[in-house]
Amino acid sequence: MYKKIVPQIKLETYEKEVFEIDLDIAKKFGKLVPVLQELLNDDKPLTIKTINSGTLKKIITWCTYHKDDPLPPEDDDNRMKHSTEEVSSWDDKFLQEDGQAALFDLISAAHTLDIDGLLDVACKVVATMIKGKAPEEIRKVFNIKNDFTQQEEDQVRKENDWCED
Amino acid sequence: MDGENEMPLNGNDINDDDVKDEESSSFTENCTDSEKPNEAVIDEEENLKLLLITDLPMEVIVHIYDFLPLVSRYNASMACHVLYEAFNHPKLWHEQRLRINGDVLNYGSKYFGNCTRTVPNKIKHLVKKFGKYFQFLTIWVFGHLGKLNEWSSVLLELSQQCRLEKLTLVVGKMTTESDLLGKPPKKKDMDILLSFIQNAFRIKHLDIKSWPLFPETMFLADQNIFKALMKNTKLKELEQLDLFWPYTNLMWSERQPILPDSNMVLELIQYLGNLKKLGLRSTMLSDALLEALASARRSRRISLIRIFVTYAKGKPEYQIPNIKSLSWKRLTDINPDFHVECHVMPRLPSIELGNMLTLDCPLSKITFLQWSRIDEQLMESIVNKFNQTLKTFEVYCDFKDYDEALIKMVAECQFLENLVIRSCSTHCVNVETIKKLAFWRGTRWVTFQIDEKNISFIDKPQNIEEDTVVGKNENGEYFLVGMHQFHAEPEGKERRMKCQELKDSLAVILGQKFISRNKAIIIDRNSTV
Repeated sequence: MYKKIVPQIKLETYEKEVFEIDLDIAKKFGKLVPVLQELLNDDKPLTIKTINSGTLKKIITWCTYHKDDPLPPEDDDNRMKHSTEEVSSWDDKFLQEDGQAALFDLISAAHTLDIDGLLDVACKVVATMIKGKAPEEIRKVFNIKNDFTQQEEDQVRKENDWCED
Repeated sequence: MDGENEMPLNGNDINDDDVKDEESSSFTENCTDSEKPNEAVIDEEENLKLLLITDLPMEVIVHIYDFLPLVSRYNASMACHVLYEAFNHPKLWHEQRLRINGDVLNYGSKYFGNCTRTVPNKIKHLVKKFGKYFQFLTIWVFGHLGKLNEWSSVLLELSQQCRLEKLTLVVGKMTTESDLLGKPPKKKDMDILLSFIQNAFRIKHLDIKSWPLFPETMFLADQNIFKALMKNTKLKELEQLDLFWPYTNLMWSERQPILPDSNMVLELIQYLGNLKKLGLRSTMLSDALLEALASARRSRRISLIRIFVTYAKGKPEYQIPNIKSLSWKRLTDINPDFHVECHVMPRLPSIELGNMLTLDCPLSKITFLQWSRIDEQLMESIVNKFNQTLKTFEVYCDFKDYDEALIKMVAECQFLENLVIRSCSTHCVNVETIKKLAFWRGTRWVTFQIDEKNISFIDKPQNIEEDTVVGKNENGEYFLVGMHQFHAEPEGKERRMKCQELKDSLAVILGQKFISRNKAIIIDRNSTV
């Protein structure tokens, strides 16, 4: 079958592995797009050392799966609706299958590469992990230490317990 | 390893600047990268460590909170210092929508006007604590305004401390004639809402979607929202003003809402010398208004006018204004980038629309909403007048077999780059026409959307209504059958196959970038990414 030749960009990861990504997919990289387009005719890859190969692979998989998604709506009302949309089961499984640290790697990389769609959906997944839990449970789920003194804790509670109404 | 004395890259520091730094360094030093173990070590440390939620950039943690209800944000904030910091981040509270339950019946109705309106405790605290961070605020009164009661003090406090950039007012439904039979809202309630206008000092965008327009309130200078606006000199800085644009996704609006008259709007526009964008109803438009916008005394040039067409047959207050071609021309003369967008909701005679959108109007977008009407003559006149400016053509209303007019439009409007046909009619655009349109513009289409149900896969003969042919039923009887039935559209599986074929060929023509959702063949390529 006829295969169209698609322009590609090259990204180098922390492990110095070079990935070739279709421009079609790299278009998801928000603010980076103009930079990438300039590099299109360049043989040298763009090095992004804060991202490791495993994470970039995941990102490419995600972007490929969501290649044909419509762009986020521009007007406020629609954006509001968009932000309450549920995470699809594919996304949910995809984001959680490698454990929490990998998810945060992915979020951090999505933030660096400015992939709004991925950042949104991944943040929603983390939000679901927080939802409905008490502070102690949240610490347990995310493996965080309680760094408040008793006094501070009482203070914070007093300050914001109106949220519980 | 020599890099241990280097600070490891902390997750919180990965911001735009860092990305840029890395890019620039890798552009120039690409070849020597392998000789620089230092950097690799820094990153190794970063990578070896398993990331925790608290390692994420603060901005990202705040974004996670965006998807959480208040109580969950609070619980998370109690877990540790970093998560507490995110809770207090101003950005988390920038966008707010206050929903106030209004009265079911008319303003001041005997039975519903006195319902007590309590403010949830949460809102009271939220306003007290974070009100100063509110920047994009929507005040949404559902139903009719009635009495604000307990909301009064909360809103008043908020109006005094928030630093709004954008204010959206959806106060009650749009007022209609039947509402005027009820009592107008009370002065003290209007005063509270108007305090947001009076206290505003850096609003750039004011969007009044609905506001109770009773003659009583409009006559009193201190009750009239437009007069209040003109009293606040800080609001001279306003860059965008939208007046009575509908707020539903469908862009539905009351057919004959009570709207501010064109003189009032003119006065307002003369005052607001910094406007860049203006959204209004067609009834507010006049030659005088455009002249005021073209005035040399204004400090900023207008770049966009969005018109929502409001029309009612035989009602003098809902007629389409006649606009001189010269009035439009003056605006393009002072700003070559000036353009006009038009949304048409009601059915109206084509000629009426033509009297407003005259020859020199730089019309860049026209949308025919579901309840409007379009015909070949109208399309032809749009093409004839606006072939140098039209970029977007959208149809959601009835659409018949206007293939020829559509072809002519794409052929002659050389800048047309967004085409949306999501008509409620079925089988109204021939498949060959679609291919032709796609092919002509090819990869230059930014948006190319056609609803699947709008596609016709058969060649329809001319004058379809009159034509009949003789058919034969299973009993061997002859009968007359309309051409429509005779040339039946493929259905079910066959239709789906044909649609898929079309999508495949369009994908190649339009450059492998199409979206297929909601039964539409949608090709979207947004140039502003």
